[in-house]
Amino acid sequence: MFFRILSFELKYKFRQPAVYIYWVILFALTFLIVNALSGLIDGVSVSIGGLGGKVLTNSPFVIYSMVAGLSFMALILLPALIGNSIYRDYENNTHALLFSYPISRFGYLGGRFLGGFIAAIFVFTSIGFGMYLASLMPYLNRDFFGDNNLMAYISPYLSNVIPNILIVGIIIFTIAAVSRNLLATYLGCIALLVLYGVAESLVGDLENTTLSSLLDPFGGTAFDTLTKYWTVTEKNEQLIPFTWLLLLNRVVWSAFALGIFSVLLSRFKFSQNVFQLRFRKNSRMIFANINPVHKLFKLKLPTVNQEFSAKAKFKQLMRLIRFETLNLVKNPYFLGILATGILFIMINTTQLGKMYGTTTYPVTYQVIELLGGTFALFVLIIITFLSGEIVWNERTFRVNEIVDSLPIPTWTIYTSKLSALFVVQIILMTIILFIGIIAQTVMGYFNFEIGLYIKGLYAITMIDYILLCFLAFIVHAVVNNKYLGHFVMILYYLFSMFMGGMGLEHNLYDFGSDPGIMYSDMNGYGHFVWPFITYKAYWFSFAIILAILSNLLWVRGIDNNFSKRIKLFKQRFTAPTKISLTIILLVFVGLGSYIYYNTNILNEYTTSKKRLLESVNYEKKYKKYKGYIQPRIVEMNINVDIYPEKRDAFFKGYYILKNKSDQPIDSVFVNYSGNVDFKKFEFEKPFDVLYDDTELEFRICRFKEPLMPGDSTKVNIEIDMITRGFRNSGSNTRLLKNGTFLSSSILPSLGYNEGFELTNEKKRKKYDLPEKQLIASINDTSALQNTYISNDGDWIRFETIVSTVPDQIAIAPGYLEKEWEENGRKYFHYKMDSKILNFAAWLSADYEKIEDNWNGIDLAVYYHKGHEYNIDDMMKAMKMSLEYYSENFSPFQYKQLRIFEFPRFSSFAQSFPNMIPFSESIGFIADIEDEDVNYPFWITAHEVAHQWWAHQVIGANVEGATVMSEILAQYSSQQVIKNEYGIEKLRDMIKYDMDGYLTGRSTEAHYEPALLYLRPNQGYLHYKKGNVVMYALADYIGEDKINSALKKFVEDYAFQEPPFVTSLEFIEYIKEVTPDSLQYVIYDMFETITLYENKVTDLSYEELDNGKYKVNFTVECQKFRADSLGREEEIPINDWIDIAVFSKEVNDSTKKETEIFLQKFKIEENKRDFEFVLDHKPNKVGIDPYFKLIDRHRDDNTKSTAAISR
Amino acid sequence: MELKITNLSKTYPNGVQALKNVDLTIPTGMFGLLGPNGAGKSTLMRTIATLQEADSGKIMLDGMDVLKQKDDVRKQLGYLPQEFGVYPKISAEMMMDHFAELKGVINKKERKELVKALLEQTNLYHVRKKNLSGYSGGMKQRFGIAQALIGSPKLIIVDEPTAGLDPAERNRFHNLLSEIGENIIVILSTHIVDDVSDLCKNMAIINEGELLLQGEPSELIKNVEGKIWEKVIEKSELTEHQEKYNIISTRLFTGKIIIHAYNDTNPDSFKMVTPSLEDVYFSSVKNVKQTSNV
Repeated sequence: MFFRILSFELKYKFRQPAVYIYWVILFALTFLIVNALSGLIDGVSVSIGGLGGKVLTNSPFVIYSMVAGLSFMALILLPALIGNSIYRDYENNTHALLFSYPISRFGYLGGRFLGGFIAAIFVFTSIGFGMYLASLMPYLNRDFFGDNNLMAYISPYLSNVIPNILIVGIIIFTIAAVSRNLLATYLGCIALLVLYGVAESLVGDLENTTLSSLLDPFGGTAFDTLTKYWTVTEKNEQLIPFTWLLLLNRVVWSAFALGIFSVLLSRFKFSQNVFQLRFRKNSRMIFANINPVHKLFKLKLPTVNQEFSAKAKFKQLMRLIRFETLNLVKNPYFLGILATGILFIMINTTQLGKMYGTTTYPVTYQVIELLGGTFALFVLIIITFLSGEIVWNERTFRVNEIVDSLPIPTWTIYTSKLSALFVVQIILMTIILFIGIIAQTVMGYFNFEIGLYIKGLYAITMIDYILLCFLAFIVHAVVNNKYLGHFVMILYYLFSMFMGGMGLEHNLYDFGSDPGIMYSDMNGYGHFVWPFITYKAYWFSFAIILAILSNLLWVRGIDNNFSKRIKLFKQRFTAPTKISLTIILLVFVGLGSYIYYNTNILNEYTTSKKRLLESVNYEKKYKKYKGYIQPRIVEMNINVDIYPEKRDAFFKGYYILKNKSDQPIDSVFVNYSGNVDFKKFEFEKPFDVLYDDTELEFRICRFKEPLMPGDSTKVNIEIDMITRGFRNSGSNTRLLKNGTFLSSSILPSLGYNEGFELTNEKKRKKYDLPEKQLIASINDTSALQNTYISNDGDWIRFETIVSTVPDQIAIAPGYLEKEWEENGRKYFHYKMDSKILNFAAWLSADYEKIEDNWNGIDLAVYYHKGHEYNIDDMMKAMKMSLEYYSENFSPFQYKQLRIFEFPRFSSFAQSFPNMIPFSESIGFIADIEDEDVNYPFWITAHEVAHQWWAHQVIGANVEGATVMSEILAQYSSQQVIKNEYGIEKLRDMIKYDMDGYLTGRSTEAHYEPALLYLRPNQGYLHYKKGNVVMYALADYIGEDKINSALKKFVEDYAFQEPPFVTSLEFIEYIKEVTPDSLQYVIYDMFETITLYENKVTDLSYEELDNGKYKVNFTVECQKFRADSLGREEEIPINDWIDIAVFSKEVNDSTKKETEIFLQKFKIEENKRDFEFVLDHKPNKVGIDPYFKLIDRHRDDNTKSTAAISR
Repeated sequence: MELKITNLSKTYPNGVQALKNVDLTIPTGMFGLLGPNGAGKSTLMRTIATLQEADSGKIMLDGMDVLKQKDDVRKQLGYLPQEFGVYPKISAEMMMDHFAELKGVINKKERKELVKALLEQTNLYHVRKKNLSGYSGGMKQRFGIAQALIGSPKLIIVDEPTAGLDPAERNRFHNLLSEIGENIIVILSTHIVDDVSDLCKNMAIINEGELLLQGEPSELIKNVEGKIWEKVIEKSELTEHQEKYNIISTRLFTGKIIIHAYNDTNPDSFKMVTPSLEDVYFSSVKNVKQTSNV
């Protein structure tokens, strides 16, 4: 019986064209995506785990990711493929017949399920085939592909796809069997998705990776956890192994699914009756009295007025809106989706602004962004699903013939249904508002900015959804098939996600789009508002066109074929309609023209492709000028007038340029930015503009008489930064109504600038550019002439007068010489009394401030009113840092140090001479609790350290430059943190940074050098690995010794003239203080990439007669050396490593785990046994328990005695 | 007032020609449109009810072009579709009130009275608070006719209202229909001959999209007088008779078969019977050319 049903089901399924259509669609989709990923289209920014760098498109890792990812999305087909196997019988009512036959449950359910399961597997094979075929395409850039490995295509199916089809398939099949409702099966699919989301958000917390790996029913999290730290080589060469975690996940979930199936098998009844979701008691059937006797009566109805006036129409519309809204909100599936969504966002509120495990205060804009963002998916589902429901409502309940013949205009019907969907949006937004306020209250934050909630939710977030409703309605009106309509909407979502990648970047044709709007406490919505309104007005006029068309195409009556609908269309397309359509078309075109005028005429519209070509052309045309000696900036005297309201800034002043070389200079090459009006660049020494490329913004000036060695000339500069209208995207978020932060990088730079070059190797190859050396070699003597932050000058004199509106304060490096008001503006004259790096900034904002003083140095934190939370910590960090650094390294070079808050559009802090601009998003609103890492404190300490490590000693523009700035700043801040918060907090940070380093190297696009040779933009090396390594180094050779080395290092190199210092010179100072026995540590940490696999294996302990405890355990250690692409080789171990024992018994009251033994042992074998006799009962033993050595599996570094059975 | 249908044709995309050049004039009073299942009755009804488009032809109601001035027609229309469902979880009273407002009965008080009267007179008042989804077939049909009566329509269309009703309910329904005014147009489409003979002043017979006959039932009966012949035969004789004679209907009776034939003279050992409307119907559906088409 089972086989008969199975074979029947298989025959049925494979006779259906749907199976082949799905196959072809998935195949085509995969094929296209692989093409896009492999450089078919330049602009595409799709990226899978470092793809685009050196990871190959047909590497096992990418194949696995793609097959798993696409099949995950394709799981939405399972209701149709597997749910249908059983649902079909109910739909066609064949169950009434079939269930009366003598078939067994197993035969029926098993056969049907297996048939659908096999068909689904068949459909999903298309993904693998699509990838394989695409990898063979000769027209694609072959550099993206390596050799194909058959197992790489099979393995994702074995460990991911097939188990997932089984798990999800069974769940869906069961729901279909029980509910006999296709929609319920789709909802089951969505519920699984939510579970997946929960697992994903738990991954954010490092400790939970095992739990979240197991929780995720799709096994994706387990895969991510497994491959998280994989390097390029591993990704390219290694098949995805079946680890215990992955295996366990698959086993647990498969068992769960089979359990469900067995319950279904034992409980399933071959009955006619449908199990239904009932929220209320069933309304009972009413029976009529049978009374055949004719009762004579006269039909007599009261006479009533029928009104068809405008007022009547309005009342009818209101009635219908109420009626339709009730229909929607009472829909049990809507309530189901909503409940899941609410649950989902409530889970997400715990993720508010996490950074190093520390949350921020739940300020309103963050709540809106987080909740609105995570809820978005549900809103999309709700709109897609409800629009179909409401458009089809009358037809679903077969009242359409009555309703359609009622004397109400079609637009009333349309408007009422659309409005009902709007009302649902209002309800959804209100739900977010309430959850937001509840979340804020629960977290003890009571500054509810209701006004901001209303703006953020109803005026911004909701607008997009409203627009989407119009689109969904016209789709349903045109397509006239509910499920096809849903599908078209999903296609639209996919299309709008990828259209940017396909080079369609202008918002004018991206329905509902806008140039972006972002709130900052400092700047409010600021300049984003007007373009936002304009774009939305544009899209609303378009939406009204859609509405008119929807009305004309609205299905009323039962004629559905196209020609009849065209006929109706013409009939309905009356003169008034034509007039209103014309008017609204004019509005649409008018607004569109206004936008075009702003984005393409007032401003330059550039696409990613155009920018790419510009950088290609720049390199091709001007690389020949590389190496031409240029004069150096020795003085910068630029006045800046900032007009915050108009968002204009005017730069006017001069550089003094000096020929520091020993050769005469006849030409100066100037790069200027096109985003500003470059008005004047005139030498006082006679010169000609020999060449000017306004497209690539490159100019060549030639002196009439060469600038002789040692000679100087003044160059007068005028630059206007004027905001004209608005841009298509990427408005200038540095020049704002409140919180302007302009840096000297917008000023013209001199000489050929390698920074503009394209770095993506494959694209370089495509455009015939030679392989790029990403950074000058450490031995490149010409590169040693420059610091890594500027090629135009090193130590300069600096002076500026900066002006702004009276209610703001304007700031620049230097000391305030004079402050005055003139012509209704405020002027500030700043001058630096010593030379600074060629690195300046001008700020203007309405600030509050706190001031203090440390040893005669003026300290201040300038902050936005309301952001008082952490300013005292920042101030304290400044003081402690100044104290520690000036005592241990060298005196502080300035008389003043200030922190300035700037809006969250960028999130970093940056150290300028005697000033530190600090983003509002990275510390000003952090909610620090006792157990948290106080990152505002830490970032402050780091930035203050840069006053030494960059502003006193700065590396040359070669490999390893940031060792002397970022890594030393990390080291310095560690010491301040340790002094203030203790070593435990530091260890907490190290855990995050270890993870950050290992994740970072896994997505490296080029190559990972050893620390001494890092490139300046490798944050995962200088911040993350730098932090880990310096923490270890301080532990191995001692803080005092490092400090003494640094003291000497600063003494030798502070404010040096070129050639500048390199990491090779620096490391000698460290080596000098390192005992011979530990020199290997320097080699391992700085000169090579070294990794360890340390773990505790056997563990046992016993209580001795004297009350002491004997503990025995074995450790295993492996040491690896990795090359720049992550290829590893095991090397013999001969290292000092921490061995530790912990106990909870030391402090009886807290039972806190305390270290009772910690000592470094020289491990000379891969395996070593330890035995200790200790005073306290051991709870945990560990090797390298504080993660001083780079180790990818840190869970096994310690072992708890609770885990051993005694 | 009359409804004038001229030359109306309609073919569905699947090739089925539902209406073939139908010409029909419908006066006030109850008009029966009789035809077998699939004859095109519903297509005609829906077309008149503004729910379907015709390929060609014209429908005029009192100077209004029904196919074009749909909004105006709808203001005067009461329509009970052949098949209809109900919104879930809504009571009869609520639903009736809803429809009444949508039919333009804006005044709340008036509407309330109207709804009450309609429900009372269709004998649904005692179950007005119950959900419509729990109604039996007959109650649902009564509700259907009640909603069609809202706002004194000039044209009422009831499409196969008695199909599936038990005899008592059908009776009740006939009573209701018979009370609807004489001076408005009521079109009743049905495949049950008794519906027409019980209720209608005028009628037409339609089959395969073609109008076969129209006129007053009594007149139509008169036209076939003397042409209907009856005979009682054994089952085994049926095939032979069907081949030999123009049999228009067969009916089982106590194990034997009563056959009716249409012929100008006695075909052979038949007995002449007084024709009923049923004989008119069957003879016309059998596609017998009648000379006396009105």
